[in-house]
Amino acid sequence: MTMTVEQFVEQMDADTLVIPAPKCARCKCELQECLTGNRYTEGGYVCSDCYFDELGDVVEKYPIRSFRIRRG
Amino acid sequence: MITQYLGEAEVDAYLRDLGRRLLANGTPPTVWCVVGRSGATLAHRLFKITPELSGNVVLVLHEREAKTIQLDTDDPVRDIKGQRIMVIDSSVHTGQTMLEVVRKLLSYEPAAVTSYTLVLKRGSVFVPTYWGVTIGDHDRAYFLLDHLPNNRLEAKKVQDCHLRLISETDLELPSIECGVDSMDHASWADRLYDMRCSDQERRTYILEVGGARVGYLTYSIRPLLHGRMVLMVDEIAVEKDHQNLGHCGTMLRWAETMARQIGAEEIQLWAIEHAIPVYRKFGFKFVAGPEVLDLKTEKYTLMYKRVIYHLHLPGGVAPW
Repeated sequence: MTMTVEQFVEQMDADTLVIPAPKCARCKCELQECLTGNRYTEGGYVCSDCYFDELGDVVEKYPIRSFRIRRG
Repeated sequence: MITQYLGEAEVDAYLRDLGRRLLANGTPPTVWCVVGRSGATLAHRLFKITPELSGNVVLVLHEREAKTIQLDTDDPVRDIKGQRIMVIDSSVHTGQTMLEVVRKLLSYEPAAVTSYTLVLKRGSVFVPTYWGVTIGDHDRAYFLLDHLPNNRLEAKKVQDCHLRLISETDLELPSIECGVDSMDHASWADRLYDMRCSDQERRTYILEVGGARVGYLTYSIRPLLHGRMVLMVDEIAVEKDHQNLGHCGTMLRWAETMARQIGAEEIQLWAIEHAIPVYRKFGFKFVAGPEVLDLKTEKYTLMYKRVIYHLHLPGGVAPW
């Protein structure tokens, strides 16, 4: 809803202005780019903790191996 | 990677200058479109510092998942047409959001649209009318925080942990067995040899949790054209008895932190065929081709994920 600058300042001072913030699709924490991270997954945007938690579980199931030539 | 911190004094100094400029040009904005919470925080401070500024405020809500921009007004034509608009946001990374906001506003025929961001990343596709600091695409800027987030390995399930580079002292120690034969048969000597003799920067770390060796990570840093770099995750595995405890995620966090630190554009890995759909869910894509390694019994495809914040570079050329 449009408001005047004075109304905006009043509501911000009183911390009553409601501005929706995105939530992690897994843990539902409020996403803040620089603090929680805001990462894309097919299931929705998630915080970095949830991202690495879930991705880590996948990689553990399919470990990544190196291609090496046997020495000697 | 550089981390900049802007405290209250710095932020207010930038806003004071902005307010002064807007009043000095004789035609200050009449409508302030503030983007999200961070935009509202900056606008709030601006209005307190420069009380002569007036007009109306319209909130701009960006739904990232739905990829929509919403103006919080029941009559955008009434509120925008013929007005002098100022768009305020705190950080512009790719520039896509601000570009879409400005395009949406222009569709309502305002008299003018100006824009401001406190932090602008160098590779942004949109350069606003005014901005505070310019930072590199791998850099970070924190502002108005009462606590600064540390870098960490720690995650929800893992606290008592650290990584250490392998050394000769590991040669006598048993392997970490993850249950994949080809990985379990490689020795610490093999890994130490690869690390020391590679013509690329290659590092193998062991993850230790509570004193126990539970996993390992090997990455290498590889040059591409035009001075670009990628971090390749060569190997990552967790001891069988320590799986499903978040250890792999801990090591991946370090790999990504290092990728940002060195200015790598992408993280790459060879994905085994049946894992490809899962990697795609996490935003991994095929490297152009795709590049496939068919070993008859197993098939691998090279995949990548951008480290730079969703920045799409035309023709694959770096913006610097």
